[in-house]
Amino acid sequence: MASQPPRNPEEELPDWLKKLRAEQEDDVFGEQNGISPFEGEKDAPEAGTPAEPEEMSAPSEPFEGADDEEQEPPEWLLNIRRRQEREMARQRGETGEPQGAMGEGEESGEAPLPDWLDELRETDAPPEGEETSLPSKAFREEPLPSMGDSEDELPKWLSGIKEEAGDAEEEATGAPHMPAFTVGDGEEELPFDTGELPDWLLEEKGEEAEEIAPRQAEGAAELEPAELPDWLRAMRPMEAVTPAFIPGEEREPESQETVGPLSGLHGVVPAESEVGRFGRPPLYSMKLQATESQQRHAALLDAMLAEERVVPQAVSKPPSLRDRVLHWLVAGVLILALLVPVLTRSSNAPLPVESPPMGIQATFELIDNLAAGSPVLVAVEYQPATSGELQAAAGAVLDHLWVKGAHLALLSTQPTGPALGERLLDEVQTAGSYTNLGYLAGGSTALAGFATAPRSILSLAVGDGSGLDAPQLQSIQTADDFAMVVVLSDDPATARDWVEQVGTAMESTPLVMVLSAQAEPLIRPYFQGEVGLVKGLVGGVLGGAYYEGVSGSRGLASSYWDAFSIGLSATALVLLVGGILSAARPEQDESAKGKKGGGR
Amino acid sequence: MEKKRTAPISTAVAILTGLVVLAGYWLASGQEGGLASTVLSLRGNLLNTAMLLAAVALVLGSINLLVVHIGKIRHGSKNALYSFFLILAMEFTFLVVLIQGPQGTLADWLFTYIQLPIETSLMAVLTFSLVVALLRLLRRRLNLYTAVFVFFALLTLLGTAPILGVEVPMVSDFSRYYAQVMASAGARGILLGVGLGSVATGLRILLGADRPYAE
Amino acid sequence: MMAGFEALDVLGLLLAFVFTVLVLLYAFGDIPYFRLAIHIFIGVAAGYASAVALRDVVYPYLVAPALSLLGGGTPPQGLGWLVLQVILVVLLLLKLSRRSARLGNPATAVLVGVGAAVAIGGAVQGTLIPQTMNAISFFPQAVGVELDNDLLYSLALGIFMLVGVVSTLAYFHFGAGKGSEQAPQRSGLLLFLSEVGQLFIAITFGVVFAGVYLAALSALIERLFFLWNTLGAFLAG
Repeated sequence: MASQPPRNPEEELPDWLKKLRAEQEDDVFGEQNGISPFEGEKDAPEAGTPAEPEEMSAPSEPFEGADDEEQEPPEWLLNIRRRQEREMARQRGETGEPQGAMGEGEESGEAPLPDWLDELRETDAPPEGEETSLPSKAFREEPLPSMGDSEDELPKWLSGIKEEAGDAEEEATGAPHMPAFTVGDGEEELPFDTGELPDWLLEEKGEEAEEIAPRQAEGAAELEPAELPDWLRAMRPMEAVTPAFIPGEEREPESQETVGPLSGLHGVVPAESEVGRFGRPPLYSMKLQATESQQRHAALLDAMLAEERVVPQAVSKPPSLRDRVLHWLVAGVLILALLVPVLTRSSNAPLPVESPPMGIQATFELIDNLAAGSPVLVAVEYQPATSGELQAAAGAVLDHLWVKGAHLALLSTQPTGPALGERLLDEVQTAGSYTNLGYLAGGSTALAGFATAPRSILSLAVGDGSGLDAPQLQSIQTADDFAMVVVLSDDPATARDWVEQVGTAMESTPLVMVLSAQAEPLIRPYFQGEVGLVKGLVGGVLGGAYYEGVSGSRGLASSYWDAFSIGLSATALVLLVGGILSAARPEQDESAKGKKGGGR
Repeated sequence: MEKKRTAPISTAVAILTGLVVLAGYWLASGQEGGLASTVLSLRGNLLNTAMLLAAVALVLGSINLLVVHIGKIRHGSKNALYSFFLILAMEFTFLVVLIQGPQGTLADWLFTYIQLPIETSLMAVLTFSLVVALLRLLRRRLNLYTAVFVFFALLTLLGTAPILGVEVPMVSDFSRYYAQVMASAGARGILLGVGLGSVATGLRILLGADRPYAE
Repeated sequence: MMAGFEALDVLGLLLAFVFTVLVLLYAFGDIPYFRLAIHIFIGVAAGYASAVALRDVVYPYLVAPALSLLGGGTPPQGLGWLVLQVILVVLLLLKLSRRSARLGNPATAVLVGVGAAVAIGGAVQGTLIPQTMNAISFFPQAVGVELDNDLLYSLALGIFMLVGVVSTLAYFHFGAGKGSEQAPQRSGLLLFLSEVGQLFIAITFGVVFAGVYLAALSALIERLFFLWNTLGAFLAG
């Protein structure tokens, strides 16, 4: 709590209190001068002595019944007086605080105070040494309790009220309750009873409340419980029959006022009604009630889908020294082994001539049966990377075609196809006629159109610009009009496109494939079997060497054969040595290494 | 959350064109004026159009490559110098081939002395990598499938050409005949699987279930 | 002029020699000039392909007919198809920009639709039906034929081929039934067939691997021959 500058108690008193004090001062002055301020008051209690209930005079004139001193006071008034006595006794026993101004006035022997003031004094009877009269206490020069005041500045009569109010708030359903008056125990009879102090006062004056509580407890032990009539008992509020609030006890946060100028204090009548309190409506969960098994399956599915979304980052590890040395060794051995036949241009290795494979035999027979001038479509479907191998494989085949007098029509679905076709024909030993039909974009789509309507799909030819208008090709209306279709390819997918799109559209025209060694295994099923869409198959340098042996020509395959043989021998040697070394010192799996490391 | 891609017009175009082209596979040609000839004519034109669009798509791919490398130069990436040479080579080749044609002198020169040697050399370097890969495979603990793989690979290599000038009959016979036949069984299964996958994928597109063209 | 061409050829040979050596040296380690050679190669390849596509396809199919139309001629494909093709090409060109990429969807749809139909037709006619027939073609066709060695061989081969085809297809089947609380599992028969299929796939891939190696070896032999021939030509003057 922030410290407040000291206040002038005089300035903070309400006007009616100031007036009253002034009158009393006048009375004191008057008493000193022989003037009694209150009518009916006989004696003023001496300083330090508690005012006895019997000494309390009748109420003053403005109040009804003020003159009726002779009548026996009502029971409730008796209870009040008893409580006052109790209070005074307690205060006398605890402190010796001097009394206030009014107390001094009273000590100087003023006229007895009116009853209503005596009542006030009883409830706030100061301990011995303090102000003993209620009015004096009420008009004590103390600042009124406020928000910023420390607990020490709260008057005792106000602290008592705070305790009572706090007790009531705890027991009530939610609405702080401040009864108009209470009967029963002496603590609860007077409106300004210390037991009915609101919580916020008790909180701020916790010490004082603690002082009051033992005093109340002591006082309560001295008093006998009053007997209430039934009608009064029915009116009694709940806090009168419930255990008294123990001051100093921590309040629940809910009882604390949160809005308005009294926020932070306990036991305050709420500024907002409970009914009118608006807040966020409760949220109801819309979640599905899923069982554990369902949640498990959902989590599994979510993990599977998350894996699909995640693009695995290729972790490029730098090669280890061992791998790099191995790479150098392999490259060095192979290059050195191949340099011997390349530099010497040796031809010691025997060419394969015996029992050529069925595909090569079939190709040879098909070409051998061609009539002179037959239009043969040659599809150049390989990349420049494999031009060396395909030239070695297809050289003898093209040579055989030209030997038979066929007219070749070059076509390609690769942009580099036309240029490769030209280079291929430059390597063929025999000269012959050909037409370069150019490039068809679209892969299988272009082949599907070419198979049924080649004229409508072909562009102007590269070279002589006649396209299918060349004399040898004028009869071509569909792919089936060719005498033979020879596909040179290094890609099994491209070769399959030719089989599926062009091969199925041809009934009488044979489809022959000259393939790279990497494509041959996957196209062989089209050659084998009863329904063979591929009628002839030549694969790789081996197939070229076989064909050269069968056709009796010498081409690139023959010149590569020695180097091929030595290269394969060197490879077998490297693999053999590597396999033996690996068998002696096998490399452990990454997972096995991890498990081993974890086990240690 | 991904925006749902619908593209109803494009889907309708894809389905219609696909159905027309597919119908042409089973319609007999020759009948003048009939529905079959109309469909076949439509099919032919659609195939020509697709071929044209494929060529334009190839050009678009080259333009995209150009834009990417121009961006690298603009942003000053560490390989900007290489990108500069790439763009230079690309522009020069494009102009030469466009003007002269693929059979032109300079175009042929570029193809013969630049593209062909480098591409063939890249294929040649693959030799060493494949041997090293097989050696690393041998170093690991072999299971049944790996052992079968290595065995048939070695068998095919050894049976292709004579070893040190000597042809081992059993090895070469087994390699050239039996191994090829045995490999054909698996290859046929793979081809059938690829065919079934192509049919399934194509049907998904023609039924509108897959829409790769929608963005 | 001939001397100029010769000089160009000599320069070309020198460049080809240098590029070949640079790329082959990559086997011994990455060098900066190797990257330069690769970038130049990519540029040349991309420029070559796009120029051929424009010159051999786009110009004869689109530009020339449009020009002839403007000159009063008739396009070979007809006016309607020419207009449609021009529109589709323009839409496809809009794919270059992200903002207008959506407008190119119809052109892409034509490509995709036609491609899908071609794939279906080709696969059914060219692969599925013929290969299914071939899978059983090794078996003897006639019942009651006298068994001999050739027939037994054909029978054995037929069984082998059929088992290979079926088991390979079984390997690629990943459908499984619903289990109680455990993870879905394939049936026992399917598991056994897939194991057998893996063997056949291993055989096929082993042979394919050998084929790739043979293709690469052929390229290496061809390059070494080129280097030696070029060196010889330079040394010979």
